[in-house]
Amino acid sequence: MRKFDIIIIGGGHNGLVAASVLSKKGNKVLVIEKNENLGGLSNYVNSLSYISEEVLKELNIKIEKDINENYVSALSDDLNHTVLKITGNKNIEILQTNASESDQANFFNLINKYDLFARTLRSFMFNKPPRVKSGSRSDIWQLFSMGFKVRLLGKKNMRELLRVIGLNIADDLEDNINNNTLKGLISSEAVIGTNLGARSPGSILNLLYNQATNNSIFRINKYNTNSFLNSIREICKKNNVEIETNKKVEKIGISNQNVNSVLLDTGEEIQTSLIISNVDPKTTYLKLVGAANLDTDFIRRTKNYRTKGTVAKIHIDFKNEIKINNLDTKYLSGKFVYAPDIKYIEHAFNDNKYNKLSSNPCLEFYINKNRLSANVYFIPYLISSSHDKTEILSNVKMILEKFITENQILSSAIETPNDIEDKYNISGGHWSHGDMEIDQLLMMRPFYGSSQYSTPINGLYLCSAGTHPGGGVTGINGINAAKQLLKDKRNG
Amino acid sequence: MPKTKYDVAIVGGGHNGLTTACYLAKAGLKVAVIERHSYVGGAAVSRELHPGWTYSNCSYVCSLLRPEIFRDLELSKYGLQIIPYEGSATMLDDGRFYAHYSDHDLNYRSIAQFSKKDAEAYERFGKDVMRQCKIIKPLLKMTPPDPTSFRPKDIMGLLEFAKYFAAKDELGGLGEKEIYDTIRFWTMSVRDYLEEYFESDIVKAHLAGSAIIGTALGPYSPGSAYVLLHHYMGEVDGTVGAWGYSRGGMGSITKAMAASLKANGGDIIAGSPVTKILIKNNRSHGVVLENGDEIFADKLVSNLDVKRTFLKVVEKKELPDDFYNAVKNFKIRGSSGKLNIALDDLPIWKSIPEGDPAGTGDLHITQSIEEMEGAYDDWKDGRWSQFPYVDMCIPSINDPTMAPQGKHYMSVFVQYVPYNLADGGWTEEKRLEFGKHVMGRIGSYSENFNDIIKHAEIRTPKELEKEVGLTEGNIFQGELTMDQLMFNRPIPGYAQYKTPIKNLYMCGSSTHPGGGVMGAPGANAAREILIDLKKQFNSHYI
Repeated sequence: MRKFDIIIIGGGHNGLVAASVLSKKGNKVLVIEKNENLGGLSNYVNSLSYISEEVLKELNIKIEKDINENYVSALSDDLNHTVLKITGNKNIEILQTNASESDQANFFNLINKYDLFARTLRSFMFNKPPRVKSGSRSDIWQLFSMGFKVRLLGKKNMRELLRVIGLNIADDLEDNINNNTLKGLISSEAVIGTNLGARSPGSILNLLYNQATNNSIFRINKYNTNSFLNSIREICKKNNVEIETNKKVEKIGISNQNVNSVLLDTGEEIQTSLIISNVDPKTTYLKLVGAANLDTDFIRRTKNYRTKGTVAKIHIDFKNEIKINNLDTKYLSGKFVYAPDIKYIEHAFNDNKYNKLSSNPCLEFYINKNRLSANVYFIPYLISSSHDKTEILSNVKMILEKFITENQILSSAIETPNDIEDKYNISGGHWSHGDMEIDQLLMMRPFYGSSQYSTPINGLYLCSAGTHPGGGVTGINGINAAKQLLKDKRNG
Repeated sequence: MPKTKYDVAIVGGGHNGLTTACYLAKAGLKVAVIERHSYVGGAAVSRELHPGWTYSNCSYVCSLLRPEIFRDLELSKYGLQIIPYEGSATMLDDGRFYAHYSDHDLNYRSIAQFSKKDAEAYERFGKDVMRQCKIIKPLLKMTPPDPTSFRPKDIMGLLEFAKYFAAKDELGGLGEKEIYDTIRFWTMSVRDYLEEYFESDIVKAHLAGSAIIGTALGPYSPGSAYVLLHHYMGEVDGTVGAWGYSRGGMGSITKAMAASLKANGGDIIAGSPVTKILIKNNRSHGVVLENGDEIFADKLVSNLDVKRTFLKVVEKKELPDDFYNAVKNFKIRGSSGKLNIALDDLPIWKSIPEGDPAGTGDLHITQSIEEMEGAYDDWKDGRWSQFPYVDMCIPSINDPTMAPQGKHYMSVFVQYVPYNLADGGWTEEKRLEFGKHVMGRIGSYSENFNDIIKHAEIRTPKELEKEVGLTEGNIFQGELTMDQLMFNRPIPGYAQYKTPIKNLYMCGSSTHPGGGVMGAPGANAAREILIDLKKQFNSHYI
């Protein structure tokens, strides 16, 4: 029987990052990936909006920037589009808009406010979350320092942070801005990939969380995903990490609450005493570990963890190069958002609540010559029925026809949350392996008894987006999980 | 009117204003409550709006009133009597109904008819919610510490707060899991919360009702589970979570308070709408009434909601801009309607058998949580729903003083009803149409309802606003969402019953811990005023 120091289940970016960190310390590491390609859901995005300095430094890699000038165009039915140019995390310029002067000023005030708060939250993102009552000195110190960082904001800002953290994005926008396009644009960033509407409390927290990990309120194309993945793969190669693709882990072997092996679909059993699962928490516990090894209360919490995906991806190939009506071609390299106002977003969200397809979904898309790649939301993950893909496509077409004329669609492909679940083995096909709502964040991510990357099974760790700090191609989860494993190993 | 000067004058004679007044009068201060109407009570009133019938025409059932206040103000001595009810029920379109009993075994059997698993789960649910009620109880009485302040009082308050959560388990502190459970309970949607326990739609729908009453949140909205707590944390005769009727209608509560106030030497100046709070050099010193009279007092307390206080009776020039804007952005949304109906006879329900104790409590009409959420969607779009959540009760079954012998009074609460309609605002015609629709819904569940209606008073949020003075007719004087709770309520930095104006305080439900006929905001405000006056706050309520 083959034997490894550490086995990583799932070759998504977090799994590979964890492998890099662990192999550097001289461990014999095996990564097992179900698909042919490594990278998991990070293949789903073409480019990344941000990779933190902390992660680059930890892995000692350099990533080329793809694009320097980023545009975000918020499309409007009257073709009076709003275009933003984004050159840095705070450096945002409005190039064209139908918003009034005062709305524009208030827009920047809001963005700056969120940026300030996101930077405070950012300092919580790179450490393992503290447990509130472990009695350990490091946890108490961490809680105290979190409180201190919030206090450093000063009285006025701290009050505002404590207010908006539980607020919904629509209220804060409506209190400050009149322009529908701007309101729709920010709301879109706050709710995409979630089960929240613009009027759901917690949507601001989600926005701040994304902003903290992406270092920008607008998720934009900046870094090449492949360049990031290749760099990590290089490290793994250099450190003799063994990577096996097209193999699926069926079960984690456990005896006396200790990990002892993994069982593959090929029938092979590989021995190990340490496993990091990059598979989402629900699948890890319910399928790989199995209910027999966990107590009832824990199983209940696992089942209650909310992982319903809400975004579908569509690729559409047009006959000719794509142009957007009434928009300068130099903005075509940027991101497009169609979420014209809060009410529109809310209606799309309403249908999702009842597991229905909205005939008026919101879109976020990129254009590459003849190809348009869109994230369509809200498209619910369905349990007992299947999606009518032609309907989704025709709904999207109806919207695109407003802005793209005299161009013929040649082909298209859709991935619904159900497809994402199948393809990447993620419960519910959720972008972030679980809703990013306050009861599923920080020390409560994924849930009590499983936070801080450890699990009730000795030797089993989690590193997926289902752990703190959640989704997005950040690599932080992988680093934190690997560090936690190494720390426990040192302490025996 | 002779010009007397009071130690403290309270603007608005709702239950919180009266509570504050009673505590201050008991401490020996010269106190006056100034009330717009000829009667006191605010939203806790009994009125004869149809000859022979007494309507609890706003709030209609009682549970939240803090027992310490009950004792301190000697309300039983002044005639207040709460009659607990034995059960409640939810009726479905298909003729089935779920009956909920305060008797444990009866209730178990009732749930088991729909799901054995849910009957078991209810034990766990009941225990967990009771635990949450216990956890929140000391917080209700607390003046929320300001987390941004470095004043010793706030630091001590925060330490107290931290100690409460962080104390060793054996010293009565909360376990780690309990802390997480509490955070989850305070932030989750009631749908998600109930789905962690139950599978049966009707059981979930019955329990979810408490989470949406009075709020502009749907049962799918994060934060709605907390509102559930606001309907569970009360007690009747020591039974936590129980509800009851106040004998003689909800007005008996405020009538007893008024009697207690008078017995302690306090004045009630009724029929005197306050148009302006007098402020000089950032200090309030009196009020101007509609008739031009002035009443002077060293300290003023506003029982009006925060918007009405600072946008209507305090002039803008007296307020810092930040504060003024925060008040303007305070979320206080009308979302409820109310019907008060005089009946010739007792309604016969198609589903609930006559004499079943479930028929004596609150009766809900709703099919599922999804239907409630749909009604919320309608509200968001500025419509009243064709399928509203209806919560009705017939107090006259347990309390014969409400209606002539053999006749009955029915209170019908409707959620969600918008304050502004998208199709051009409320008109008399639309109001009647709304009432007709709700009565039609109720009629379809009853054999005789349509034939026994003698009189119906139909109120949209507009009517609630007009009569009680609640902005937008919001029954809680402000949404109970995380951004407006604890140290955020009503305005961050002003959660300690004080205002930017010296000598002007707040005591209404806009302040911590929020709405419901609870009295806690009033008692907390009284305590803060007495501390400022360096006087003793004598109370069971510490």
